[in-house]
Amino acid sequence: MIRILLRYIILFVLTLLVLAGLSFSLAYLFPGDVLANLTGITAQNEMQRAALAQQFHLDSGYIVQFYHYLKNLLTGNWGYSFISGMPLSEEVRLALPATIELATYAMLLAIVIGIPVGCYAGLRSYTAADYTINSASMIGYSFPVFWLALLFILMFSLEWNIAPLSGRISLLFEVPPKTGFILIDILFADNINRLLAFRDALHHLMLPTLAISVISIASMVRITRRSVIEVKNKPFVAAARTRGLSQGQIFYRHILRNALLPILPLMAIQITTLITNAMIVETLFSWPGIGNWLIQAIYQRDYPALRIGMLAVAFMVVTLTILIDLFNRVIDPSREKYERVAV
Amino acid sequence: MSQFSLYEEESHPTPLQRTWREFRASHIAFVGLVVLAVFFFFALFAPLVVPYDPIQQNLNSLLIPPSWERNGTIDHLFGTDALGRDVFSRIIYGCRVTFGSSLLLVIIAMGLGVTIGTVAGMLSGVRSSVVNHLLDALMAIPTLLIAIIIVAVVGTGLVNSMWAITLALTPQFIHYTRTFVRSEMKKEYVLASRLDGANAWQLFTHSILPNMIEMLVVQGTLALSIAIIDVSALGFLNLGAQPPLPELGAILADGLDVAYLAPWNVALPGLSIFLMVLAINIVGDGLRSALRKRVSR
Amino acid sequence: MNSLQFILICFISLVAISACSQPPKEGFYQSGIMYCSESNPANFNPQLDTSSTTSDASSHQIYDRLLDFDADSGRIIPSLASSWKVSDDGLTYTFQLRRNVPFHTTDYFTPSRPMNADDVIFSLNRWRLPQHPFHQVSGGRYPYFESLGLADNIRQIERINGYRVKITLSQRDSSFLANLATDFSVILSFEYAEALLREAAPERLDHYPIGTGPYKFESYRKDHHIRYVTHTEHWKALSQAPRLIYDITPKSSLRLAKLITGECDAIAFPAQTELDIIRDREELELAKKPGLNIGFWAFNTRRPPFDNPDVRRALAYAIDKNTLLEAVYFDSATRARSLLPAASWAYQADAEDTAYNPAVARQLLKKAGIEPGFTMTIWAMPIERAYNPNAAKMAELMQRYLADVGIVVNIVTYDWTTFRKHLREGLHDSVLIGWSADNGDPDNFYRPLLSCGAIPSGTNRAMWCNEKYDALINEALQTEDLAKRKAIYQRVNNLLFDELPLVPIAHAFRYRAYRKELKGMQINPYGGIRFGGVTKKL
Repeated sequence: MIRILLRYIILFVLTLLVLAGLSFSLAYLFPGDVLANLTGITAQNEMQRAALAQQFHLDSGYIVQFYHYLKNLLTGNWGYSFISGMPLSEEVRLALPATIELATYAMLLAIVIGIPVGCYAGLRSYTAADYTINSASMIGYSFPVFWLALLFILMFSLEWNIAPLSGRISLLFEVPPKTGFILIDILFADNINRLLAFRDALHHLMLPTLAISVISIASMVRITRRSVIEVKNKPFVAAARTRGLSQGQIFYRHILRNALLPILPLMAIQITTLITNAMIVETLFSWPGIGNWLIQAIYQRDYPALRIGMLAVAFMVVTLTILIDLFNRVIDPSREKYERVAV
Repeated sequence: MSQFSLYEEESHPTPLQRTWREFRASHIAFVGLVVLAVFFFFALFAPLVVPYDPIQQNLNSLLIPPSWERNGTIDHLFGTDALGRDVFSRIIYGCRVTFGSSLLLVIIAMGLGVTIGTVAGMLSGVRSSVVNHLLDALMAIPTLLIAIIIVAVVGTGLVNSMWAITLALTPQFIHYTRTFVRSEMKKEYVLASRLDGANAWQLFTHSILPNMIEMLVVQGTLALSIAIIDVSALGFLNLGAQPPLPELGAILADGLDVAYLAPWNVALPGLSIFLMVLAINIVGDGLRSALRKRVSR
Repeated sequence: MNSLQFILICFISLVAISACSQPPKEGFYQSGIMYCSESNPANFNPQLDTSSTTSDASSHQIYDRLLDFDADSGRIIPSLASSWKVSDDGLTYTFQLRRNVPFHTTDYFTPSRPMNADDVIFSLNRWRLPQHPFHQVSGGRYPYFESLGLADNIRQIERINGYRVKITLSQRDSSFLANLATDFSVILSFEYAEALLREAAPERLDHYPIGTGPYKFESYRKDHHIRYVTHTEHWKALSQAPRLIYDITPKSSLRLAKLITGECDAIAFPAQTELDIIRDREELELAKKPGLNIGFWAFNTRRPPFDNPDVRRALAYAIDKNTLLEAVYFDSATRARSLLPAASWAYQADAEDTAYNPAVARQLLKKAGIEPGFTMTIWAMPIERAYNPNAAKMAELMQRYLADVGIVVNIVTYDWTTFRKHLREGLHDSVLIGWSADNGDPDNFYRPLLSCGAIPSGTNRAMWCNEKYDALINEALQTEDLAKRKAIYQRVNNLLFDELPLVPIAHAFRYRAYRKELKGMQINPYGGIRFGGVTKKL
C-alpha cells in the first residue's frame, strides 16, 4: 500500500516537474521578450529590467533559472497578465473554480443519469430498449459540443426564453468571489436576496451544464452498458443464476459492483474530454472560467497568462487523473493495470 | 480411387472476410459506411461536385435562403452566406478540408504512435516505464490546451492546428501499440519465429503488424471522429483554419454573425460535422462489434 | 425494475429544475441597467484615449465637462461651467463654475470639498503641461488634445477666484468651446490626485476614477464587467437607476441575443445585418441618427511604395465603394466623397471622388512599376464601429478586388489594444479604420486624421504629413465666418483628392438598440453613450 502510494507520489511529482519545465520553456518559445513572458511586466527602463533579470536569474544557466522559476511558482509569484496587469495567481484563482464547478455538475449529471441508463441498457442488451438507448447515446456522443451549445442557445434562450445565455449569475447580484464557486459564494454573500440569487445562478448553470453533459452522459451510458454486458456473461453470474437468486439480487450483488469497477479508470479519460468541452462551452456562454480566459489570452497574445493557464489546467487534469488512478488501485488491487479502453 | 478432395468445396474465409460479413449484417453500420463513403467522395472530388467556387463572393446574392424555403432558389441549394458565397459549395469544400485534414493527421498520428509504441513495447524496464508515464501525463492534457500553446508559439493556421491535434492523438496510439506488442511478444508464435532467428524488424513486420491492423483500424476510426471534432472546434474558435479557407468549424463561426437572419449558415455546417462524426462512430462501432462477434464465434 | 425507477426520478428532478424557470422579472431586476458594451476600456480617463470604448465607459458616466452638447440640437450648453464669456479678439475665455458640485464618495476616496477652479485647472494642465506631476502618469499620451495641437495653443490658464477660470489662447480657435465639450475634456478631482501623490500611487487616478458625474465607479473586471452605482448627490439630481453595469460582450451577435433575452437593457453597436430584427421585435427600440463619422482606408504613406500618390490612386480605383457599402453597411451608410459627412455644415456635395475603374488602376500600377503579384497587408480593425461594422469582411471583399489588378493582399488583425499599438508604430501597409467626430466642427475631422501633429498621437493612420494641408486647416480656424471656412475646406478637399493619403469609404448612421423598459435614453449627437437620468421600468 505504502509502496503504491509512494510510486504515485513520485509519478505525480515527476509529471508536475515535466509540466513546470514545459511552462518554463514556453517563456523562451513564445515570441517576444523572455523576461516579459516570464514576468508579465514590460520593463520601462534598463534599471527595472536589470532588477527583474536579477530576480529571475536570467544571466545564469537554464537549470538555475528553472530552479528559481520553480521557487517563484511555489511561492505564488506567478507574474502578471500583459493585458489586465493583474497578478496571474489572482486571475487563475477566480477562473479555475468556475470551470471546475461547471465540469463537476456536468460530471455529476453524467453519473446520475448515465450509469443507471447504461445499466438498464446493459441488462436488456440486444432488445429494442437497448437499441434505442444505444442509438441515442451514439447520437449524443457525436455532437460537436459548440454546435450543440449553439442549438441550445437558439432553442432555450432565443426561441422560448426559458434560460439566460451568458454568465454565471445576473450581474445585478453582487457576489464577491470568496471560493470561486458561485453557489457557495452566494451563501457567503451579504446584502442580497440569497434565494433569488440562487435561483438565478441555477438558471445560468442550466444550459452550459446540459450542453457539456449530453456528451458525457452519452459516453457514460456506453461505457456502463459495455461493462455490464461483459460482466453479465461471466461465469459467476451464471452460477448465481443457477443458485436461484432473483434478478435484483444478481444485479445489485454481482453485476453492479463488478461492472462499476472498470468504469472508474475510464472516467479518468473522460475528464480530459470533459474539461476540453467545458472550455469550449465557456466561450459560448461567456462563462468566466479558465477556458474562456485562456481563449481570450490567446486572442490577445497574453503570453504570461498562457504560460500559467496551461500549467494550471494541466495541473488540474493530471491531479484528477492520478487521483482517480490511485483510488482505483486502492479499491481494486487485484488488477495490475487497467487498460485504457476507449468508449 | 475416386477423385475427390476433402476440402475442395469448402471455402475458408479469411478473418478479414469474416469481419466484413459480420459488419455487413448490421444495417445501421452499413448505412454509416455508405454515408462515410459519400463524405469521402466529397473530400476527394469536391472540385467536380460543387456548382460554384467556394470563395467566390457574389454581392448580388447575399444571404439567399436554402432552396426549400419560400424565398430560396434552386441555384443555391443551401442558400448563400453574408458574402454571397454558395453555402453548398462551401460545405462540400469544408468536408474536404475538415475530413481530409483529419484523415491525414490520424494517419500521421498512427504512424508515429505505432513506431514509438513498438519500440517501447519491445524495450522493457525503466525506459519503457518512463515513456509510459510521460505519455499518460500527455494524454491527460486537453487537446484544446495543446492547440492553444502551439498556436501561441507558431501562430494560427490549419496546419498548426493539425499538428496540435496530431500531438494530442499520438499518445493513445503509442499506448495501444505498446500494450498490444507486449502481450503479443509473450505468445508462442512470436517465440517460435524468434527461435527461428528472426530479428526484431522481421518479428514486427511478419508477426505483430498483421495482427495489429484490426486494432489500428478500430482505434483509427475513433481517433478520426475525435480529430474531426477537434479540427472543427479549433476552426470555430478561430485558432485553426483561417478565412477564407472553407473549414466547417470556421464556416460555422462565420455564420454566427448572421445567426438570426440566416440560421442555415449555422445549422448546415454544424449538421455536416455532426453527420460526419456520427457516420464514423457508427462505422467504428459496427467494426468493433463485428470483430467481437467474429472472435466469440 | 429498480433502476428504471431511478431513471424516472432523475428525469423528474431534471424537469423540475427546468420547470422552476423564469425567475420573476420585477422588483430586484429593476434596480439596475445592464449595458452590453463591446470591449474593455483602456482606463477610466478619456483624456488618455480616443477610443470610444474608453469614453463610453467613463466620460458621461463618471465625469462631467465644463460644457456639454444639447442632445437634440447639438448646441453647446452649460454644464460644470454655468456661464462663460469670450473676449472680442476671441483669445480669452472666462468660465464661471457651478457651485456645490460634489465629487464621488467611494470606499477609496472621501472628498472634503466640492468641485472648484483648482479641479478645472488641474484637469487641463495635466495634458497641457509636460512638466506637470501627472503628465507622465499612465503613459503621458493625450491623443485627442495632441492631435488638435490644443496644448500649444493654450497660452495661459488663470485662477481668478475659487469659481472662476480664465483661459488665454495664443491664436484664435473657433472650435475651442466645442473641444471643451467633447468626451475627452473631463474634469478630474485635484484633491484626489494630491492624495494619490502622497500615497505614491498616481496611476490609480485613471483606474479608480473620481468624478462628479451621475454614476460612481465601483469595480471593473477585465473581459467581464464594470459596475457603477448611482451618485445620489449629483448636481443635476437626476432620477435614475440605482446601479449601472457594463457587461463586456465583444461579439455583436451575442449582444443582440442578450438584448432579446433581456440580459442586456441596451447594447453597443448593433450589427448592420441585425437592424431589421431589432425593428421587428416590439420589445426593442432602435434609435437612429445620421452620424458624424467616416470609415476609410488609409495607406501608410511612410512605407514605399505607398508614399507614391499614383500607387494610392491606383488602389483607390481598384475597389468598388458602392459594393462595399451594400455588403458591409447594408444601406445604413452613405458613400463618402471626402472626409466630411453631409451632416456637417462644411460638407461639399460636389467633392471629387474616385470611381471604380480597374483598367485605370492597372495602368497606374504599371506606371509606378508595381509588378503583378505585389503583396501588401490590409489591417482590419477587430471591433465593430458604426463607421465600419465589419472591417474583416470589408477586407475580404477588397482582397478580391485587388486580386483583379494583380495585388496579393494579406489581411492582418489583432485584438484592439495591440492593433492600435502596432498602428501607432506604423507596422501596417494600409488599414481599414475610421473616425467619429467628437464635436461638430469640421476641424475635428481634418486635424486629427491627417495633420502632421496627429502622427505621434496615433490618429493620423496614414502617417501623412503635408505642409500645405496643415497651413490650410490652420487658416480655416482663424475666422468665425462659416462661408470663408467652407471655401478653405473645399481647397483642402481638392488637395486630398490629388494626394489620396486615404480613401474615404462611408459615413454611417448611428444606431442604438435598447429595450422598451429603459426610459430616457437619448443618442448623444457627438461622442459616447450617457446613462445619467435613464430609468428602468419593467
